Order: sequence, then C-alpha cells, then structure tokens
Amino acid sequence: MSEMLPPTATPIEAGLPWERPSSGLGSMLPTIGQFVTSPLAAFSKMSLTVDLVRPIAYYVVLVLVGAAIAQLWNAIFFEQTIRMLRQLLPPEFAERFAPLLQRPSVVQIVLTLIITPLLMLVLLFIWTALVHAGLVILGGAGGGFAATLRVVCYARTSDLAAVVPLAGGLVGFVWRRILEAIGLCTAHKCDPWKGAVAVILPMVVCCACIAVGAFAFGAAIASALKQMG
Amino acid sequence: MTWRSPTADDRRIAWLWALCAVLSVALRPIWLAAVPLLPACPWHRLTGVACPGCGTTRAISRLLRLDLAGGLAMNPLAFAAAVVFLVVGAIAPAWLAMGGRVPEPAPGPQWRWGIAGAAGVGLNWAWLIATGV
Repeated sequence: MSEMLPPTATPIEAGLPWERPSSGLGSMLPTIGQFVTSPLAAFSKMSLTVDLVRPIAYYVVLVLVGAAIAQLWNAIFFEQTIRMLRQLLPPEFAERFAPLLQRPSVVQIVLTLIITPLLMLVLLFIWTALVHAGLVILGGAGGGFAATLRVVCYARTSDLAAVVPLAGGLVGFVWRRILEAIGLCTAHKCDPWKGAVAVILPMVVCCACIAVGAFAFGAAIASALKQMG
Repeated sequence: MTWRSPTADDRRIAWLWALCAVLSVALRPIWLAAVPLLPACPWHRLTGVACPGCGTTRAISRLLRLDLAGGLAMNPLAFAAAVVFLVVGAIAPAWLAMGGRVPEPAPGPQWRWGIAGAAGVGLNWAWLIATGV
C-alpha cells in the first residue's frame, strides 16, 4: 500500500535547478531567482557533493553578465560620468587616470569581457582562501574548503546589482557580503556570527587602508561639493 | 591537523588552484600595467606610517619581474603568500595525482593559528614601519 503513495519531495526538486543532472543554461534563471528572493532556502538546497564545475561556471557566467551590464552603463553614461569625475577629482588625479577617462573602443570592451572572468577566477580563489582561513580559526569550517568555494560562487548572484546605474557596484558589494555570510553559516552549519566575522575579517585585516581611503575620498567629495555649492 | 586521502572536490580545487597560478603569471602584463594607475596607500598618506598591507603591490610587481630580493623587502608576508600561492598551485594537481594526502584542520576553533596569524601580520607591520616602506 505504501508503495502506491506519491513521494512528498523528490531529491531532484530539493536541489538547485542549476545543480540538477544535465541541466542547461536555462536552469540558471530559476537558480538566480531563488538566491535573489530567498537566499537562506537557496543555500539550504545547495548541494555539497555536486561537481564543483557547476558553481564555478555559475560564478563565471554571473561575472560576465555583471561586466556586460557595467559596460552598457559605461557606454550610456560615459560623458556624464567623465564630466563628474573631472569636476570631483583633483587635477593630478585626472592627469594620472587620463587613459581611463577616454571612451573605450569596441576592441577594448571585448578584451575587457574576455579578461574580466579570468581575473575574477584568480580573485575567487584568493578571497575563498581568506574567508576559509577565518572560518577555520573560528571553528566554523565543518564543510571544508569546497563548501566555502561553493558559497562564494553562488554569492556572485549579487553582480546583478550592476543593473543599478552608478551605485550598482556598492550595492553589489554589500549584497555579496550578506549572501556570503548567510551561505557560510548554512553550508558549514555554524553560528551566523562566525559566517559574518569570516567575511568581514579579511576586509578588516587586509583592507583597513581601503576603508580609510574610502573615508578620505568621501571627505574629498564632500569638500568639493561644498566648494561647488 | 590531520592528513586524509583526497576527494573529487580536492582534485577539482587543486586544478582550480593550478589554473589560478598559471593565470596570475599569464596576466602579468595586465597586473604590471595596472600598478602605476593605483592610488598611493591612503592610510600612509594620512598618518605617514605604513599600513599592514603597504608594499603588497610593489612586492608582487617585483616578484612578477623576478626581483625576488626587492619583492621580499617590500612586504615579506605578502611576498611569501604570493610565492606559496604560485608554487603550491603549480604542484597541487601533480601532488594529488602521485597519491599525496590533503591537510585537514582539526574540528573546533584554531586559536593558535589565529594567534600565529596575528603575530605574523604584526611582525610584518613592524618591519614595514621600521624600514619605511
């Protein structure tokens, strides 16, 4: 009798669409949707045994999409952005960054789209290693390096924030850190604070100067705006 | 720390590491072209004292130019980390293919590692300040 009852949930339905056997690029959209709408549930569904090529491929595709959207905004708002930068940046900076303040050619855009995923692959590995080192110290790395790598790959869903013009990078950065913290505590089954600290620690240790720089840059912009006003 | 037999994930990670090491060297012209465009360390500018990461860019760019002594002097910790990243990455797949085992940290917090890491960063920072990097 029990053999006739329908199963309540098949393993296929339980996993991420992108991780189902022989799923194509089309399964990426529902996967993205799950990470956008309910990241906690999506990370709970994330497989810790599926071939690592899947999450890495997801990462590369999302990086490419983000880079393509950024190039699109760059093409649309190029003149306005350059005008604003020239007003805000001190003359020595404008001189220094002169090569970057010219409209890129089609060849440059294509080269950027080819090189960006390669650069980001190197950064993926380095960032994962830093985050995982923090987790190991805190005793929250039960799932191993591969689990951290999977989380960092899927957290790249945040690159979709590039659709927000100008502020997309900052929004994506914050969103990525939140996704990583959620994913780490879900995948490693550790306390949420450990996931959050593991994500923040490398930035505090390695990038304290960036934080000071961001503050100095903000102060410079504020004083420039005051002078303009 | 224990040593265990590699899993399928470990083999993938070893290949990813090797790919990243190769890409890091292959993209050398891009890294070197980007160095002059990077702004000076804002911490150093504000305080006049090196930050823990000061000299990292110079250390890595000198490593990419094979100026090993110069790179080591710029930021010993960053230089050592970059060398470990490149060398271990290059041999990782071969190590596993030859039956090498994989290190696994013991469960629970590894405070000794944390203290060792903090001491390493602190000593490196003292070196940077003392040498005026």
